[in-house]
Amino acid sequence: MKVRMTKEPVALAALSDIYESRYARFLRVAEAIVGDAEVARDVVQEAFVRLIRSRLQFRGEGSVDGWVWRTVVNTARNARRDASKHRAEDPSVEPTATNGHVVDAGVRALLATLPERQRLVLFLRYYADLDYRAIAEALEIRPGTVGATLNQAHSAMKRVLKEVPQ
Amino acid sequence: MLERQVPLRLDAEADWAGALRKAEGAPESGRNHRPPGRLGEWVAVRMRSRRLLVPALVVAVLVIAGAAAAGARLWSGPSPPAIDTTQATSLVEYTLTSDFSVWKAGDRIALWHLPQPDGSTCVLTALASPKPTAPAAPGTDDPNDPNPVGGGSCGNPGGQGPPGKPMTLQLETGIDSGLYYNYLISGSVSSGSDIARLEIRSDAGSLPLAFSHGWFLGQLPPSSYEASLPQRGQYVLVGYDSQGQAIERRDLRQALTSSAPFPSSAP
Repeated sequence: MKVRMTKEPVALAALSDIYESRYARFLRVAEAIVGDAEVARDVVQEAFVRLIRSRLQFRGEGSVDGWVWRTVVNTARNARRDASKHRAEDPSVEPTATNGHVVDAGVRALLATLPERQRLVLFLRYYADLDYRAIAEALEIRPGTVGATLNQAHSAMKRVLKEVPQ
Repeated sequence: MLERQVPLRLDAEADWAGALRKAEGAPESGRNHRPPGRLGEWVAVRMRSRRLLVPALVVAVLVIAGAAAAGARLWSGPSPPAIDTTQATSLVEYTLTSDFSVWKAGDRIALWHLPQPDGSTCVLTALASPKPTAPAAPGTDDPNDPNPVGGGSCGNPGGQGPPGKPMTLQLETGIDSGLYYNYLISGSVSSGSDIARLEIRSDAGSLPLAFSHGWFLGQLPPSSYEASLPQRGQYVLVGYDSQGQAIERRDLRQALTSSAPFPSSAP
């Protein structure tokens, strides 16, 4: 007998539960991406506004968690991109790294030198405590790629930390 | 190492209601939001607590037989006058099958006919008993009011649908507990109509509406999570005469589409 799968849009209550129960984690990842706590709050709000509005279009392709994380991450990336444009236009803002050498010894500056995918995987792994499968869904990559990317990020950070004068 | 860089802000205050309001494009104050209706102006959706904010945010109206043709006086401006409830009479009563707005499944609600001192008429939903008490003003929120009025319209002097139009229909949409969209349907048949009973026919069967004094009141089945009824089947309001002959039909698809609380937009 064939079982017909019914794919329901996401209930407001389900979104509300996710928002309330994981707000601090969303905030943390958003802050890691945009680098500002206040902007991160706006990012999380904006992400959920989009989620609420678009929940009728969700048809069960992937998990709700993956969809939510993807929206939060993409909203934060957009915000960061917008902020980068402003920074580029503002000569008073100094870059954190020059000539391939890390100027700021802080880990945040190290993270900034990593390719975006490596940064995002690290954020979702360590700030959101997501497993490989959840990270893969959020970033729309394969679970195997998550592991490989994490290894690359770890290696890069170790390498860069060694180069930083203590 | 990484964990120290961005703290987990457990004390950060989540603001789900704010996100919801923004998603709906509702005003920040949120409470007692009154979207403009085509028939007069929705007067008040009252709440007993902030938990009831969501159902009050979404009220949609669709009038199939326009009241404007009957010369209805429409309210305008942000402060409609207080509603006089001293001459309130119940038109039709209905027992809710699912939560709607501030009311719970099993509550008996009614359409109340409220003649106003200036000769106009309001027709509002409220509990069937006790008789609604005089509100200070539409949109105000008195937590001690035992029977706050819900949605409705004011203006049409006769109250009932205009002559020549067999039916006037209003559809009110609400969200209950953030789970489902609920639909309350109400309206009237013209005084010369032969309609003796009404029901909503859908793929799932028929739902009888309460019908009395030429007025009807009832509910559509709650949606599953979203305002998807128009996509899930056909809903037709059918009026029958005393012989059981269907003499009037209204396809509710357009009404349901028009009353969809949230716009569709991809992130």
